[in-house]
Order: sequence, then structure tokens, then C-alpha cells
Amino acid sequence: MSFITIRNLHASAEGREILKGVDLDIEKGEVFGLLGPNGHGKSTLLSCLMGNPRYEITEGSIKVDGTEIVGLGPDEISKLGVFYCFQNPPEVQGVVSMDFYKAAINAHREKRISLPEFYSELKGAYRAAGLPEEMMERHLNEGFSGGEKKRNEVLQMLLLKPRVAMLDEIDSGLDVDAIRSVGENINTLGQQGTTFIIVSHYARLFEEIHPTRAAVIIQGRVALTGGPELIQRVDTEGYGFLRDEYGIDISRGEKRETIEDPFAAAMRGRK
Amino acid sequence: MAQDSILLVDSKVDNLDLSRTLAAGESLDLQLVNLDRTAPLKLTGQITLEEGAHLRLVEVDLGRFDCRVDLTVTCLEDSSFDADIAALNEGNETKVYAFNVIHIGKRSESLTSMRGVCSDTSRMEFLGSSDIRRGAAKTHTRQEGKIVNLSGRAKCIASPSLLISEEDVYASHGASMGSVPDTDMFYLMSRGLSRQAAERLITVGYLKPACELIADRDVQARALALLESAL
Repeated sequence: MSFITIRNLHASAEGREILKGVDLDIEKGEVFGLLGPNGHGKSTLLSCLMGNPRYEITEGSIKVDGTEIVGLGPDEISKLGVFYCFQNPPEVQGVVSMDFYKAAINAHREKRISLPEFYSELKGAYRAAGLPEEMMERHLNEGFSGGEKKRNEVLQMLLLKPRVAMLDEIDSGLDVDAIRSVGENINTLGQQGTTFIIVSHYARLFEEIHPTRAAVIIQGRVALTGGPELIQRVDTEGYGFLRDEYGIDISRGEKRETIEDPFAAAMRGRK
Repeated sequence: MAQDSILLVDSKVDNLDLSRTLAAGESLDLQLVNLDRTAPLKLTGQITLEEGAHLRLVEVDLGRFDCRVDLTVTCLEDSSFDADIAALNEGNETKVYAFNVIHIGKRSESLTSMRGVCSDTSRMEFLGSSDIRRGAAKTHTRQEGKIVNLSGRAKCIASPSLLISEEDVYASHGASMGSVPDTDMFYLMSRGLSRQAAERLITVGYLKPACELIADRDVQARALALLESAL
């Protein structure tokens, strides 16, 4: 069984079906790219993996390391080691950042973290994320620039050291140096065993992190999977080749067949 | 400048009258802290701040009790009034805070900041007015009220108002009220916090600033500990 297994996932929001039968397998330690035009379900898929109550999963299954997570709350999924870098992190009034980080760390531990250890971890994370330490006393994301909010997501990821990290357009709004820094942090966690699912529209971040495989989401389904060359192709040509070569209309998604790369099948040991 | 301070913790008095006049140049730091109180409290007062007098009021109401505060502060020339109120409501408690500041002297200043957290079927009202009378030029005044409604069934009213009868003044007010946005709650919970822990964090965040103004270290520590364990 794969580390993350998604089978026939259907999800709706406000009565509208967004995910229409997603099937996906992701192996442990992969850096998996999730591609697709805007509005086709990438963020919805990640939100469902994180148990966002805004989305109703009407059918299907999601398993992480053999544990079914459909029906679990976001806090329970987080404690299984899943982390979600928000595309648009909210500004949470009244919550001091460092109070929140301590509560989050303690939620994942049996024994509360000591203050010296906490401050040591926190300062290290601020350094690695490229943010000034003084920000720990500010209210969570309040008044942060777009880039600072994204770096703050990376900081929280570094503090919680998840088994699965889902990054939703972490590179949008970041300059070249910041993207490089994010890439370094992803690589560091990847070497420690974290599995990544990364949504991005641009190749620059993927160039820093060496993805293993990718999938293209069209009209709420996986339309195509492939190796890292799929990311390059989308970056160079856009999504037009899906229509020209595979008959998938990205505006209406008429052809629903998933075309799988033989390399991906071999990775899972299929014949 | 003479400076005095009064700290009242869990006063046994049910009707407290704070009426007084601060003499010219006098300063008073008045701190009212209710942590273990359960009996209803009625707090009234007509306070006059003569020229150059300063009144600093901190009120922290974390106990399980009903409360009605009606305070009128009249500010003469160069006087100032600062108030920080923090209130926690649970069960079916009712807490009403009405602060009326009347500016009759030039260059007088007032800042009234009220923050509350409500849960269950409790009721909280922040009512305040800043009244700048003719002759009180160069006055600065601000009233702000923020209430977060954790249960959605609590009744909350934040209604600051401004009455201005003079030109060349600076006056503002702000009010915000509502439940915790779903996106905020999802964000906090996605980091492993239970809904209850997330609500506690928000409660602490809202009310901690006023608690940290309590001058007595022991009382401050008790207030912060009570806040952390709330809900």
C-alpha cells in the first residue's frame, strides 16, 4: 500500500461538486507536484486532506500510512503528522504568534515542551525561515506582508516537523532568494523523511526541490500523472498538450481517462 | 505631581461608588480586578478630572458574575482619562459597561478600550460615549470596543458614540464584534489545536493585554493563570 492513498474522492462545497473522483497514490518520501489550471480542484484536494470542514467529502477514501482520515477533524489529522501551508494564511486577531506555536508544538507531544527548548527551536526556525525573531511577539500573521505570511508557514512547518507537508502555492509572492530559502528548507525536511505535496504554477520552486512525480488535476480529477518531465512540459507549453495529445478539454474535461506514466507504475511495483 | 494607586481585588462590596474629584495635577491609577467574584456587582461613579489631572483605570472581570458599570468622567483642561477593560462572560452572565467621557476643557484626552469574550448564552454590552463640548478645542478622544462571540448564542453589543460640539478636535471610535471566522478556526486546528484549545488561545489573546496592566505581580499572575484555564 502507498503512503498516501486516495481513492475515488468526491468533495463538494456549498452544494457544488468540486472533486469528482480523484485517485492518487503517493509514496513515502516523495516530492509530489500537483499541477493544473486555476479553479480545477488542487487547493480543494489539499484542503480535504487537511479535513477542512468547509468541504463535504461525499464519497471516497484518503489513507495516510494506512489510517483512514476521512471523517477526522483537522486537529486529529495534524496529530497524525500532516501539515498544510495555506495559500492565503489568515490574520488571526488577538493570538500572539509565539503562544500559538507553543500550543501547536505541545499538541503534538505527550510531554509539554520546556521553555528553554521551545525558545531554542523557535529561534532556529526563525533563522531558517529568514524572519526576524521580533515577529514572534506579533499577532498571528496580522500586518504581515504576503512574503512574510508565506515564510511564516514555512516556519510553522519547521517547528512541527510533519510526516506529510502540503504546500499550496508557497512560492507565490516570494522573490528569488526567498524561493531558494524555501527550497532549502524543503530539502532539509525531505532528507529527514517528510513527504511533500506541492502545488505551484512555476518551475522555479520545482527546480530547487527535485520532484519525483507530478499529477495534473483537471475538472476535479487526476487527468495525467508523470515524472518530473511533466512539470517541465507544463511550464514550457502550458496545458494545451492535454487537449492535443490526450483529448482532454481543460475547459470541459470531456475525456476522463487517466493516462499513467509507466515509470510511476514501476515505482509502485506493478507489473 | 502626586500619584496614587488603588487596587481592589474581588471586592466584597456589591455596590461600588467610584465618585471623586481629582485635584489639579493629581494622578490616580485605579485597578479593579474580579477573579473569584460570584455576587452581582454594580459600579457607578461621577468622576471629575480638574486641570492637568490624570486617571488610569484598569478593570479585569474574569469571575462568574453579573456586572453593570456606569461611569461618567468629566475632563477639564489638560486632563486625561485612560481605561482598559477586559471581561469574560460564560453561562448566562450579563456584563454591561457604560463609559461616558465628557470633555469640557481644552487639550483634554481620553482613550477607552474595552475587550470581551462571550460564550454560552451570556450577554455583554460595551456602551460608551465621548462628548466634546464647545470650548474643548484640541481634545483627543477614542472609544473602542471588541467582543468575540465564541458560542454564537451569546448576545453582544458594542456601541461607542461621539458627540462633537467643537472644531479642531481629534475623535474616533471603533467597534468589532463577531464569532471567530471559520477560516481562522480551521487554521488554528490544522496545527493540532482542538476547538477548545483554539478558543482558549483566542480568549487569552483578547484579554491578556489588560491583565498585563495589573500592577500587583501576584494578582497579575493569578489573572493570567485563570485566563489560561478558562473555557
